[in-house]
Amino acid sequence: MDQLVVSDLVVEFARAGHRVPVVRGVSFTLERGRRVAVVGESGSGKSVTALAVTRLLPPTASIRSGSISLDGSDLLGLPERSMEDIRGGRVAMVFQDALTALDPLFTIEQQIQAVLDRHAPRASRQARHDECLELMRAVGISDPERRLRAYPHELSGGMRQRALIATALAGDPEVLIADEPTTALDVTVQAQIVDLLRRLSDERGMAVILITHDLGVVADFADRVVVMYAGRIVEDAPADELFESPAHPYSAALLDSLPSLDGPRMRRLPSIGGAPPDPAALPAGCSFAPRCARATGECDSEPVLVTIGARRVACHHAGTA
Amino acid sequence: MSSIESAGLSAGRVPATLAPIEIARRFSHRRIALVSAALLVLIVVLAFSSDLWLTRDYADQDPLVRNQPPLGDAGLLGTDQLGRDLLARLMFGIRLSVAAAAFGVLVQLAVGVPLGLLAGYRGGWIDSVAMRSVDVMLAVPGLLIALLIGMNIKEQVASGSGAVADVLRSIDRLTAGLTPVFVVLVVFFWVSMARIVRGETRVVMARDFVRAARGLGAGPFRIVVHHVLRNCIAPITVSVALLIPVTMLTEAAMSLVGVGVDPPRPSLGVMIYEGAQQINSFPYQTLVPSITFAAVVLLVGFVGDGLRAALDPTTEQGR
Repeated sequence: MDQLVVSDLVVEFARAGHRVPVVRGVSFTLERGRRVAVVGESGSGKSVTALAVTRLLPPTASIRSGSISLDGSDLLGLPERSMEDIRGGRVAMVFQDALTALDPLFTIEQQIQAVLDRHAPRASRQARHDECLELMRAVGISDPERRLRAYPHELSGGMRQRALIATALAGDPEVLIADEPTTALDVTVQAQIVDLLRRLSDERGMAVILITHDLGVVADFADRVVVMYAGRIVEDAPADELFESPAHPYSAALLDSLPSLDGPRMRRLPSIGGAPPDPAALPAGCSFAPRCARATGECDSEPVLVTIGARRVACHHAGTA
Repeated sequence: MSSIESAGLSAGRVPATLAPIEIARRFSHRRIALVSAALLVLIVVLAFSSDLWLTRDYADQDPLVRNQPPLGDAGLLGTDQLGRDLLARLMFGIRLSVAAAAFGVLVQLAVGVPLGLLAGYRGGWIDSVAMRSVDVMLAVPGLLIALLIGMNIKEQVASGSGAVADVLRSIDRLTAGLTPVFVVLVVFFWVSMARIVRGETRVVMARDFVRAARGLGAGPFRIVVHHVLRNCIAPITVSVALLIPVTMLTEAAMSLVGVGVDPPRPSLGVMIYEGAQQINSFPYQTLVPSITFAAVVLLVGFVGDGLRAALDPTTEQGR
């Protein structure tokens, strides 16, 4: 069943008197308890899409058109007060750098309790404390009694990210949006955090949207992968299908630039030539065409997202290769 | 792990919800601040209870014991050129200076801080109006306006009629003649605090944890009180500590030109100026209030520094 439905979302930024579209007609659905990874380069619009879902866009950005609904109710039409109940209570966000996303002046317990008090008030002090301990154990923090009394700067990077996830879980959300939660961490800790998110999703039946620029971390995490480029979805496919046979040249290029364990060791990692287009000056037609090896005259017209089997692709050449 | 130990995590169970106790504990670990706070309290208590333990009044003149040095027959701190007991005058002076300083702090906290928070949080026209007012207040010649206000109020108190004058007169009785000083403090002393807090608010609002708190459902009130105000504590304490001596000097300057405390009542500033007239013959008369003034300013500074450190969990404890 579709829990979160985003359709035809257009987000624009005001820049030097102009409106620059950063998200251009994004549609996707998230089923209850499923895990979706949104992948793309910086500036592809993946984070902006996530911020739009929780209506936390910066003041220079505005949602031009489209709709976002949670369990059938429209989020864009809600008054701000009701939106505050939804944030953290039903849709929670975890941000990139846990050191800056936790307030340095409060202990971990105070920060978890702030969210608890907001969304799931407990009767007694003991019950609140027990709930905090429970959340700390759920995110795999050892010696939780002691860590609860720590300030953010006293914890290691991985532990901070776990603590931040604990604050996000405090409101018992149905959907967790994690915006590059592993970027500030080293590789082994990255894997642990992704594992943790997958386990929490399974245990709690919580849907997760993982936003990342690293296809490597999503392989055994996501049910589905949404690939974004220049503000559009270029491919949306079940994870195994995407890794098996990417349909969009951009997805293929992304996969190609992943280091492989069993490939030749001395191979130079391929990279995608050129740079993503400036959203203020997009090329006519397919945005990826200037960097695409398979571009033809056809690509002067913008491809639409078409459904092919279990996936959606926006490429004139999809299915012909 | 040493940072965890030093933050006192191993020192028994301190429930995180009792933040004020935690802050007091951290403050008490800073010896200089603690001693300074104790000394300040002692000075204030001595000054405000001086009627109980002093034998002479601050206004009693005695032509037989003029200009007596400290530690002599005529009292602990000696006498001034009219034979008035310097200890009694010093105690009364501290009272007035403390009252002016306290009121200045009140204005900063009750007007400057909320205005700065509002301007910084809301932005837009509220911000523009507030900050342009700050610019105007900083551009006008303060002392001149202070004198105008002071003269006007003194005149009202002395010979005015009507409700306003009556109110001013009763305030004047309550404040030992400091009404003009208080009015000037209200007019001028919110300004720098409002600007500082407004700027700091903008900085804190842009930090990730505010966005993260929003993402977990925190509303505007919670953001401002819980996160922004708490993260502005350091600049606020510093600003308060810095402006306390300025408040006391303002009071002294106004009293000196006759729009502050009425003679024979002394404030610390008045005593410093009066004593300075005789600095060549009787330096102690200006040194005693000057040293007191400097000591109070220094102590306030230490306490402010201790508070700031106690409120910031990332500073090491101890010295």
